[in-house]
Amino acid sequence: MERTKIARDLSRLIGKNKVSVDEALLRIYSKDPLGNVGKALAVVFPISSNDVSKVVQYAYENDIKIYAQGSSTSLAGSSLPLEAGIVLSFERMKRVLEISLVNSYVFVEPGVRIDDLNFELASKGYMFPVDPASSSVATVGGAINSGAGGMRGAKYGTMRDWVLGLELVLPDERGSIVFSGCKTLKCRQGYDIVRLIVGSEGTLALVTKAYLKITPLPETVIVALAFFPKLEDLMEAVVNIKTQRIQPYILEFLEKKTAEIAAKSINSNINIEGHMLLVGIDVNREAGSRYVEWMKKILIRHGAREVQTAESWEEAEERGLFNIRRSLFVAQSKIAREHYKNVKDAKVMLLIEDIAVPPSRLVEAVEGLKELEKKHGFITMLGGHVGDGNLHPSIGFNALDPKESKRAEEWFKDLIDLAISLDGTVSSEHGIGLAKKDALRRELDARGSVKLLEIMGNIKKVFDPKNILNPGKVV
Amino acid sequence: MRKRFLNIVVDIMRELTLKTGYPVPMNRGDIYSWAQDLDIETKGPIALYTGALYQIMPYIESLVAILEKVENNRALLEIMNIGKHLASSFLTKSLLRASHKRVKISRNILKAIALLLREADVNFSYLYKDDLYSGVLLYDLGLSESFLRQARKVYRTFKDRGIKKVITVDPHTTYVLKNVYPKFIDNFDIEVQSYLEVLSSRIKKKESKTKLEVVIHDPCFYARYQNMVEEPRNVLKASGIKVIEPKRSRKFTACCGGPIEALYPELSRKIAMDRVKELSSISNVIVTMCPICFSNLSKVKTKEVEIIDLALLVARVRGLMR
Amino acid sequence: MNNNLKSWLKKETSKCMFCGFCEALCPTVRFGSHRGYGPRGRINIVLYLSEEGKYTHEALNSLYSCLLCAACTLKCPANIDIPEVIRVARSLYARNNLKEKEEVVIEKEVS
Ligand SMILES: Cc1cc2nc3c(=O)[nH]c(=O)nc-3n(C[C@H](O)[C@H](O)[C@H](O)COP(=O)(O)OP(=O)(O)OC[C@H]3O[C@@H](n4cnc5c(N)ncnc54)[C@H](O)[C@@H]3O)c2cc1C
Ligand code: SF4
Ligand code: SF4
Repeated sequence: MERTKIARDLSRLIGKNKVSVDEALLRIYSKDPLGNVGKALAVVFPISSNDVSKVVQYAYENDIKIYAQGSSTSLAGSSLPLEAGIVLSFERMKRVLEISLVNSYVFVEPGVRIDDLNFELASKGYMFPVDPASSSVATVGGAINSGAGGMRGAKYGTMRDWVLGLELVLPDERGSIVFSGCKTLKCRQGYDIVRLIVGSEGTLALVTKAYLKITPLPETVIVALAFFPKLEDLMEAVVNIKTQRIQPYILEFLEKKTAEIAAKSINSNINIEGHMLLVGIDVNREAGSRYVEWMKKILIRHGAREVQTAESWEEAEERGLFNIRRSLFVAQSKIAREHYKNVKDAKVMLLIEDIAVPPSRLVEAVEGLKELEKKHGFITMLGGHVGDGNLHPSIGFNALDPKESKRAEEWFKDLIDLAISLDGTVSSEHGIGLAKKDALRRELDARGSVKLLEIMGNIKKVFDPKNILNPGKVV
Repeated sequence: MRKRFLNIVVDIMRELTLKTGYPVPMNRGDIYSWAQDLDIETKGPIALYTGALYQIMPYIESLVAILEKVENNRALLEIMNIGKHLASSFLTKSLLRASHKRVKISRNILKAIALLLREADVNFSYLYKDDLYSGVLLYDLGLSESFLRQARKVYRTFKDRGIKKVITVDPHTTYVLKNVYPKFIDNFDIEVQSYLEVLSSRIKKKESKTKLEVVIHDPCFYARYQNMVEEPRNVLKASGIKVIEPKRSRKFTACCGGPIEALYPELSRKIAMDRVKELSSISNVIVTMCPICFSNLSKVKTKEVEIIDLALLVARVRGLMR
Repeated sequence: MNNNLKSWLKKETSKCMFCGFCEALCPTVRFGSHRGYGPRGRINIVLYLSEEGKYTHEALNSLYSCLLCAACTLKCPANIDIPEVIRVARSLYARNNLKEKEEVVIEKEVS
């Protein structure tokens, strides 16, 4: 159907100022961080579940595709309007509706950004602990639907551990509005639809409200930043820490060269004496110094060269102990850009990967990645959440160079094989989207479980009989 | 409609600047009336250069009030478009009248700056009717050719008067003279310093009896563009004023919303309200150091909140002004 | 001459990785009606314009609603001078629509 007619119809249904078919605007709702350019026909900005429902009814009736978007930061291509269709942007539904400490939940609209939510919660001493590196932009709806995780994953898990209940608009004839899950922490409501929606990437239903679990902010966090000349030693230290009856708040790793580049990119004066390990443990203030001493001992006993510590989160911030880890993305982009500085007409793309292996196999994974670096000749940046075995190896390549794009593809294939061969998984928190459909198939195949894809396909059909929600993604 | 509105408003500002020297129709005398009883030298190699932004802002405020109405009114818009050709006479006398109170505040601020410099034993002259507008708005709007014309005029005036160094009074003029003029004018050889930089190293320490606590609002063009964050704090502290930092401060400061007040009045207002809310949660006295910030934040403040320009506050605390 | 400005704009805006980190600090996107009121939107609209896109209603809103406050630059991993890109894009528009002459200052603007 043509653009202007869609605009006219939708304007009549939900209001003129909530619909746009402005060409320049369509362009910026058609892009994503992978460099894809999709085909938005119209972009719609609902402000209520009813708006969403009306748009869905209309799309159902007229066989038009719908692509939900939060902030379009998905690294798997999940938010891309692949075929011509309506982009449903949740950015105007960003209210925090209720914070209930006694019930341990926060009730929100999907468009609120995670950091904005945490800003409000912090004033009451609470937090929503899922913290993707993109939390300053990423929306709750996007995080739910991509099953996001973050630095605190080892302690707090990912999105699937924090969603209590969801209001959903279903892609049926009436655009039915239903509520799945509970307001209570415990809930046995037949099959667990909430968990099914988490990570479903906008292919099954549209999330219009959410009850999320919250948790108190720790009193403080002690921090240790250590450098290990030998990777095995670092991993030994991790294993040891993980058997000490504590659950670290953060446990982050950067490979030596990556740490060096990252430190250089922000002019840090911290000496990079090897592979970097960043440990944070949430403690009571009074216990701070005791834990610091104890952690320092463990790290040094396992061969750490240089150890810097802080007795509180504020002190660690002040001394810049998080800065190197936080600058990973900046460093990744910088190194890639510099590499192609002299190449005319280069479109530098970053491939930020997202495998996980059981933490006990991390050494093998890192060794394997080094092999891949040699084999394909890309500078590989490597960091990750060692607490839960999630690694984010990344490479930069010139997308305008067909040979290089092909090599990048091969690197990616090998990486997937590596993850599978180490009993790991191909996507820990970024999702499947477009980028990992084949990888998912291979993972399931390796486990003799391809049948599950068929089941997933059937689930999709049950929810979305006309295949209008985010078609072509996941399955 | 938006395109037409935009083209007309931008065009009016340009035409006016080129014809009258200022982006809004205004009385020439208002530019230097603040200096009336100060007896500042007319000649000398170091000159105070206001760039007229403090003086212009009261008129911009009135213009914005009109634009807010015009934005959705085609007929009025076209009248304004015709009006620009008769700009100075037609608009000044009929449409644009700045509030008397507002004009006086600007005058006092400039006066305070001059008195503070004097107190710190800084020798300076003043340009009076040659205190031209820097053209910064034209630059921001991408009207590079018109901006260049204005910049050349300003530079020629400096040269004609034998000026070697200028002391500026607001962040936008300071930035454009320091960082943009040298790019646009070959061999630009005028030294530029803001009065805050000058005072920061020369102001004498003075204990104040009143325990005054204020929250500071850094302007983007000092804090981010010129990395100037300590100077205003030094000047306040040297006068015994306690500075409290808001959540977004120094290089992480939040814009007052002012730069888009003419073209996007409603959006500008929302941004200002958000900032005032944040600042006033810290202290009821908000200190600004930019005429645009002052104007835009004042527009939305509540009764309990006081917004005051740094120079005026410091001059009062030091007993230089009432 | 226009082409100089255009190719500079294209080069700068092509660095954008669409991460959106810049949006977190932008005052206009917080209160504006869509992504076009934020730095990521602006940069990508300028990219679109530099590839012969149209100066649509929203493209102009995007360009002229920017405060040039530079908060966004604190977070941009690609190190794009976002306000400068927007200012230069305005100047390109002015050349074609507001009778600003072309022969002056191109090098000065993009140096
Ligand atoms: C630099 C960078 C770093 C990142 N780091 C991390 C990280 O550490 N951990 C991590 O997990 N991810 C990370 N990501 C990926 C991404 O930011 C997260 O997955 C994030 O949660 C996506 O949020 P979003 O609002 O941008 O969602 P989008 O990208 O807009 O959407 C994601 C998916 O959710 C769907 N969706 C969005 N809203 C709704 C809704 N209301 N109803 C139904 N479906 C919806 C979309 O259709 C899409 O399939 C990173 C991305 C970048 C660019
Ligand atoms: S300079 Fe413009 S885009 Fe950047 S933060 Fe300020 S208003 Fe937003
Ligand atoms: S932060 Fe920079 S790279 Fe990321 S979206 Fe904004 S402009 Fe693009």
